[in-house]
Order: sequence, then structure tokens, then C-alpha cells
Amino acid sequence: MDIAIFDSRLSPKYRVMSTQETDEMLAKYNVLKRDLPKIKLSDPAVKQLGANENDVLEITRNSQTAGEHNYYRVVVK
Amino acid sequence: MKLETNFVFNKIKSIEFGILSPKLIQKMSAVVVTSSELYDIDGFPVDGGLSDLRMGVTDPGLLCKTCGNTIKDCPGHFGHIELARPVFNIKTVPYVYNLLNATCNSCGRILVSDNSLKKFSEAILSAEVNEGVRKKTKFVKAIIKHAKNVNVCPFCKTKQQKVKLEKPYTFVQGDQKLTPIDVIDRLEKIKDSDLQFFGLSPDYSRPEWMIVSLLPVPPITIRPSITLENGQRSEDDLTHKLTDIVRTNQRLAENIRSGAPEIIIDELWDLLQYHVTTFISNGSAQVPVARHKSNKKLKTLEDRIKGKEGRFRGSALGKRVNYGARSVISPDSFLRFDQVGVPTKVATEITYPEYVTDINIDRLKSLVKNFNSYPGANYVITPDGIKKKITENTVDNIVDELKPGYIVERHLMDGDTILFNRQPSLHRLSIMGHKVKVLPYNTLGINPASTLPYNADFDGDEMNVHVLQNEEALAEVDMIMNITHNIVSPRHGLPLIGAAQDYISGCAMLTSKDMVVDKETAEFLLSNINEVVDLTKKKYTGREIFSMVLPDDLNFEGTSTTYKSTKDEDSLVVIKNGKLAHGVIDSGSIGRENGSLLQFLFVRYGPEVTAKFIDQANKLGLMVLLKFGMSVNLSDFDIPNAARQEIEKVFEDLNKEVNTLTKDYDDVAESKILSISNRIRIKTRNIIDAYINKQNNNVESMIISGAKGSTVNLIPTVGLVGQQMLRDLRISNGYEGRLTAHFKKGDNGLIARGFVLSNYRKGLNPREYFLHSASSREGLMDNVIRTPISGYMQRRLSSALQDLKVMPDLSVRVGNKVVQFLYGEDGLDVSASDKGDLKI
Repeated sequence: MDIAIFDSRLSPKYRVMSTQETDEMLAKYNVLKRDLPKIKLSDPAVKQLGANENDVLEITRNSQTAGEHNYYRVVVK
Repeated sequence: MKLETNFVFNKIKSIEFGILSPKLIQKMSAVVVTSSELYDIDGFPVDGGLSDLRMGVTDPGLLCKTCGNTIKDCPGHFGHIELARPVFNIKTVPYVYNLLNATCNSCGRILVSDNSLKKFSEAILSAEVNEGVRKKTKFVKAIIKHAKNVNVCPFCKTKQQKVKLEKPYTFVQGDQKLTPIDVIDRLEKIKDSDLQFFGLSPDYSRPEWMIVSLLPVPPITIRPSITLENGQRSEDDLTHKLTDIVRTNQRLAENIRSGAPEIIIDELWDLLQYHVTTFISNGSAQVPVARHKSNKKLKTLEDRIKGKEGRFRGSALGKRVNYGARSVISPDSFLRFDQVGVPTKVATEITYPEYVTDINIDRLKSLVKNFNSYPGANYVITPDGIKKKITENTVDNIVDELKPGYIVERHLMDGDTILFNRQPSLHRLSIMGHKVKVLPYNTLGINPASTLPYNADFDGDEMNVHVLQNEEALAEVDMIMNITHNIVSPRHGLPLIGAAQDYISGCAMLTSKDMVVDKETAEFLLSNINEVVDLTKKKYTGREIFSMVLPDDLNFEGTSTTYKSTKDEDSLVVIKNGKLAHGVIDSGSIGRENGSLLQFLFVRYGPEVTAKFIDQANKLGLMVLLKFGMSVNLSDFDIPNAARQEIEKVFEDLNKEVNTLTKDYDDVAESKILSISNRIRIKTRNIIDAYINKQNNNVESMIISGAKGSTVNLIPTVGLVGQQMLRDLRISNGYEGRLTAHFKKGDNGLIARGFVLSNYRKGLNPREYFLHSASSREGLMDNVIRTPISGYMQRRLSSALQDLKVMPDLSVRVGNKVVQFLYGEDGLDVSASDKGDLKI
């Protein structure tokens, strides 16, 4: 796979969160990692980022209502 | 028997479904049924009959011979019938058919080579563990399909002769019929280890069990007999069918014993097969339906489980309630929109349990005394929980003993909170809290202003009332579900409850530029909306009158529907300190799904003020119309001759264009013609707009105020009806090469392909009327076809989303699982925003 998917204007911004950031986010929403939305390890975006299982991705998406908003997904097998 | 001791505190890990083996049937059977007699001459159940007391009791007083319990505690016990000859179970026939054709005729092995079997075995096991039963079933189907097409047994090398199924339950191999006995022989040969490839298990579902040799007889508790008023017994349908089975079985057994000719035995065997089939299922294809003498279908085992009225959809999921009422709805503009007119008949039947306190004891006592008329009470519940009916005999005692702590089930009274609902309940506004208004009619009354969220009209619609039975529920409904709290839609932030039709016309008339009313009229209007005002002037403008229903400190600026079409600055709504400075109050201010004033009031002043305003404004509009009148005239649809000629000229000019196009007719020309017919419509609209009389024209005034109708409706009414279409194309079929006999073959001009030049006012000629009907019918058909489809889509969507909820931190979750981190990505409550925007 050598297609640069992140160059597409339709692709949202992905970022692997650090452990500390992840913990802060989990505390903010009072949520356990397993209750977060999931993303497959085989997802092209995960592959491109080189993220590992249990990493949490911060996804910044364009929003019709809010302009921009953040979404968090945990990488699973 | 204490209930608690029967609880089992274990989690169910899995469920295994199987087939009853003859062994198990025998083991769980309490009696062998041998007699078709039910009762002896004295009326006692016959031993070995279908009402044998060992199968349980349905009469009070009798004891079950198996468990010794009475009707209350005896769960019922199975019996069984030993069939003289085995028969097929209609429900297993397809599986038996598969098994017969997928296994070897002589050795009974599955017709798949040993090597492949090993592979399949692993695949099935891993599929079930990793991907679930559904995947496993897919595998099984594929293996069976494969095995069915094998012609030589890979194990014993026998050439296979395929078995044919002659519906409903005859198996034929070559020219020989396979009896159930033959089939059992074949199925018994199948090895235990091969069963997994058919999705069966040797422990729970040996294939030969699919053929009925012992028939389980369900307990009497499942098929109780009813004693009719004349003392006659009426048996359940299942019992009827079982007597048929027992009787046929007896005759068959006797004939076999006495060595009767083969034909007679076969005939009886077939009859037994039929009875057993219709005992299980009474609707299989090609099986005659078993009926009562009265030609009513017998209810079989399958009927009890299957379908809408079956055990699952009808009993387990179908909840029925008490304290509910249902009736036809009627419009009543004199009710507040949050009220429901409840018939006295309903109000005396349905009660609310009110606790007796020191404060209300006198009132409740008088209600109890008045038990046989309205308002009264039906029951009293003592603090010990004993329910006493209030009757002529018990009244005096009950009134005497009534004291705080008692509960009086009193009649419904004005102001009680109820739930009001109309099906289909598609959104949360389909069930809302209303207040009771008891009225001496037979239908439920509802203010037309609150029909929109229920999607109700008055062509025979019925709605349901639920009466709440405790204070907690009451509080919840009053605080959350009440219709006044749901004036503004959570979907688009616009009011769903507001003025419509007459109310808008009336308010627009009242607030028009030069409306002036005299003192008497003002008194009439204001007294009808319960507004107490000192009238000091001789004359009032309509806007002054309307200002009296506005909150005193209201400041509001908004546009109006009238402004949109007239561009008259005066019709722009400006309210200063509760006074309507100028502006026409029409659909744009108070209309449902439109009114910005209502939306503003709801957000700024809250539900109570908004509700009061809606009711007063509506009533005011109604009273204005009552006082001044409003009717339409045929001349309201007149346009001057000049306009008529202009329209005709537009048609003639463009028709010429079409005629040149048809000379060289092809797909491109067709699409050009379509756009021309569209242009005719648009030009006609502009001509009508320019010429139609706008003064003293009530049709126009309704359009302008947004009460009803639009200029689009005027085109076919006063202009021309225009192109009739079928499936987005000009109408083309009918006669060969032409629509009807009125046209020349191959004419593709406007008129020849369904353009209607007349209008509704003038009337259509027969040819036009026919074509117009053709395209109306398409619309009707589309509607009929699409309604159930979109309804089911909506149902699936709401079922999928019904567990989502917004948590206090504004995240959307299912249980603990996060779906959205911020509701709607902006965290805004649409109903509290201004058309989706937050105006601060």
C-alpha cells in the first residue's frame, strides 16, 4: 500500500495519542478504553500511522454543526 | 410452594435445540392414550382418554393423578400415543429429504469422500467457534448441496438412485414409494459421526427421530375444555384433532391385527398421516385444511406459535395495559391544545388511585358517596391492601371507615394528567402528556392545533389514552412529556404546535394594515379569549387587540409570510414592549413548523406562556373569522381576458417550437420538448401572479398569509393543467403509435402526448380528463407502494438507535460504549436553539 491516503481532502486528520494524553482523555470522558469506538489494526489509516494494538487515535474531523471536532478510536485486532 | 426457592441463580451460557426421541417421549409421558372417548357416562374423564387425570387437571376441585396438585399448582403432564404405523412430521420433511439424498442408499454414509470430510469437519468446528452458528449453517447447506449431486457412494461404491419428494409428504425412489418405515430404516443407517455435516447431533437430534412413531400428547392444561353456560363441554381444537388421531390409530391397529388387505391399511395410514400433519400445522401447501363443522379453521400447534398473533409477537412481546381508553377523535377548538376531551363514559370507568389525607378526606368522602354517578369513585383500597368495591350495600361502611392511609380509586376529573397517543408511534412526540377535560360526548376531543405531532386527522382516526397511576409517573409526565414542553421540535427547532388554516387567516385578517374594530367587537373577541381589559376607546386597531395576548415585556422583530409575497414593509413584524407596532401576524409568526414568534416565546418565556399564547392567538383568529366571515367565490379564480390571451400566446409560441422539434424527433428533441412544457408552466405562473386580483380575494389572502395553498395550486386551477407524465416521461402508450384515437399516428406534439391546455376552473375535456386521471393514478399507486416500504425502513432505523442516550457530560452512549463524544458534535439541544443556531 503506497497510496498516500492522508493526502485526500476527504481524509480526516489522524494522530496517535501519547499514553498521558490518552489517560487524560479517558478521565475527561470517564470511560474505559474498551468502551471507546474501535478501529481495526488492518485499517489503512492505522497501517499508515504505524499504530499498534491498544493505541488510541485522535481523529479531527470536519463537522457540519461544529466546524471541527475530535473523535477517539482505540486500535484493536 | 414458595416462589423464592424456585429461583435459579445461574447464567445461561448456551441453548441447544433438539428433537424429542421416542425414548424421551416415553420417559416424560404420564399416560398412554388409547381411548378416543373423553368422558364416561357420569362425566368423569376416562382412563387412557385424552382428558385422563394423569395429564393434569383443568377443573377446580379435582386432583391431578400424577402430581397430586390442584389446578393451581399442577403444571400438566405429557402423555403419548403409540402410533400403529409411523408417519412423517410435516415440519421435518425437507430435512428428511436432504438426508435421504445426501447419504448412500445402501451403506448410509454421507456422499462425500473421506478426505474432504476431514477438512469440512475442522471447518465447521472453527466456523461455529469463531464466526457463530449462522456461518456454520452456511457450511452445512453447502455440504448438503454438494453431497446431493454425488452419484456413486465414495465408501461402498454403490450407484445412487435419487429420492424424489412429491409434495407434501410422499417420497419416491424410482417407481417405488418410500413409506415412513422405509425412511426410518434408511435414516438409522446414518453414522453418528456423519451427523455433524447436517448440523445434527447424535445426542440431541438423531435423524430417525424426525419421523413420528410415538406422538407426544400435550397436557390438558395447554388445551383446556370449556364448560358452556348450558352445561355442555366444548373441547379445545387440539383435543379435537387428537381424538381424530386416536380414532384413526385404533382402526389402523385393528385392521393390521386382523390382517386386512393392504389397500385398506394404506388408506388408513394415509388418513393417520393427514391427521398428524394437521395437528402440527394447518396451512401446509397441498394439504387440505382441517375445519370445524362451522367451517372455521382448526387452530394447530403451529398457529399458536407463528405469526402476528402467535406466542412471540402476540403474547410475549405484545403488552396489554389497564387504565387505557381508545376512541375516535374529533376536533374541538374550544379545548386548550394541551387538553383532551374525555367522554364521561370513559371517565367513570377509568380511575386514579388517590391517597386519603387530612386535606382531601372530605372531598374523597363525597366522591365515594357519589359512587353511582359522575364524579364519583369505584373502589377503595385499605392500608392492608384489600380492595373494596363501592356498592349500594357497602357505601355507608366505607365512608365511615375512610381515613388517611386509604386509597380511593376515583373517577377521572378535569385537570388529571393522562398520556395521549396515536399509532404509528414514530417519534417521541407520538405520545405526550395532556390534561383531562371530561365532556358529555362519545369521542375523544382534541384541539386541531395539536394534530401535527401525532399526524392525526378526523376522518375516523382513533387515539389512545393512558391514565397514570401514581404521583411519580405523574410528575415525570408533567415535567418531561407534557405537550406544552414539546411545542418546539427536537428535529429542527421549530414549533410543531401552532396556528393552522383558519387560525392563521383570522390572525392575519385581524393584524392587517387597516383593520379597525369597534368597542363591541373588541369586547366579543377579548371575552372569548378570557382576557380581562378595560376598554376605554371607541375604536381599536386589530393590532392593538392582538397586542393584548402578548407578554407585556416582549420585544421581537421578525419577518412574515405576507412580506415574502407582497414586499410590503408594513407587514414586517415588530413588537415593542408587548405592543405590535406593525406587521401581519401570519404563518411566519405563529404557523406550525414555521412560526418564529412561537419559537422565540418558547425559548424566552417557557412552555406555559407559549401555550397560553398559542391558545389565545388561535381562538382570537377563530373569533375574528366568526365575526367577519371568510368565504371563497368562483370569481376569486378569475383572471382578465388579457391574461388569458397571454397564456394562450405563450402556448402557441412554444408549441410552434415543439412542432419544429417533432419534425426531426429523437431523444434529444424529446428532452427539449419536456423543458419547453416546463417553461410554459413557469410563464403561466408568472402571468397569473401578475394579473390575479389580490384585493378582496380570499383565496389570495390565504396564500399570502400562508394559511393554505400556494401559487403552484393556482396554475392548474386558473391557468393550464400542463403536461401529464407517467414515470417522468410524457405519456406514450395506448393505441399503436398514438395515445388515443383522437390523434394521428406518430404525432409527438404537445397535445398528442398528454399536454392539458384546459384548467380546473373551465374544466377538462374527456380526452384531457382521461390523461389527467392516468397520471393521478400513478401518484396514488406510488403512495400505496412506498408508504409501507418507508415505514419499515423507519422502524428498522429507530429500533437500531433506540438504546442511544445522551449522558450528563453530553456524550452519546449505548450502555457505557461511546458513540459520539459530544452530542451532535456541537453539544447543542436543537429545540433550545434558533433553527439549529445558537443565538446569544
